[in-house]
Amino acid sequence: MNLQPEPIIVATAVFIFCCGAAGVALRKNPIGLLMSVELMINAAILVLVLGSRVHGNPMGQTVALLVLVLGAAEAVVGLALALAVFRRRAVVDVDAPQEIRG
Amino acid sequence: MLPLVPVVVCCALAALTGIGVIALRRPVYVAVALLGHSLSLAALYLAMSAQFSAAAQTLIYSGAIVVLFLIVVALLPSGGAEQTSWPRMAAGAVVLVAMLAGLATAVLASGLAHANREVFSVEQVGAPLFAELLLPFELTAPLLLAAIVAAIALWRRQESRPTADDEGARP
Repeated sequence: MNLQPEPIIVATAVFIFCCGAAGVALRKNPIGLLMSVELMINAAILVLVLGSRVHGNPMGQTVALLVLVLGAAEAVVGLALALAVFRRRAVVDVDAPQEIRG
Repeated sequence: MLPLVPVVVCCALAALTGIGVIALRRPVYVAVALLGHSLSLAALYLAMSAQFSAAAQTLIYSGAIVVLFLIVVALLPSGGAEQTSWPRMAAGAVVLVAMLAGLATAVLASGLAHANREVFSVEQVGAPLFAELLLPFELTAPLLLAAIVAAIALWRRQESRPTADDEGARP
């Protein structure tokens, strides 16, 4: 059986992305939900780095760096929102807050 | 040609820790699983000879984001296990199966080119930041600034609720 590394990596990225999407649907805890989103971002970065290698172009790794920064900003704002909701009410459920007012 | 054994080991570790992120109950365990996931991905980048991406993944993800998650988990009022309901687990399973089917079909239809033997230096990776990707690169600065300002604004709005005289009386 001829086992190539590149399809294994792509399959892993697909699996990680689907795990993240399932976690977003599964989680009640906003922290766990944000971590699932991080899983999806990680899968996207993995595909970008693999594409950079397969196509012989350094642009993929550069875009992966930008996506990494995007993930950091998303985590900061999401965690701040989660903490702000948690301080008002000790409910560990993202569906519980029915209204968000500015 | 990529080395097969390290790639397989790192992929298995990344997939297992990914399952751990969505399956574990306690937030601290989930954060540790995310840390293992990030580190195994960094090892996978090293096996793919993408050293810059491995360093960035280790420093930014493992060093900054996961630690931020751990700090927030420690700050939370209730760090106990979450109760998951059956409809929620069914929804998660449906999403997992449907997206796996769709993405696997798309990937199988696309096919992969053969890998080149190229290893990119940091200089080669960084050069597009000042040429083709200059605008997205510059836009990350206001993005990060907006994220910092938003986080501080959300926090300070909560802090200003109690009156000034009981400041320091309660944590």
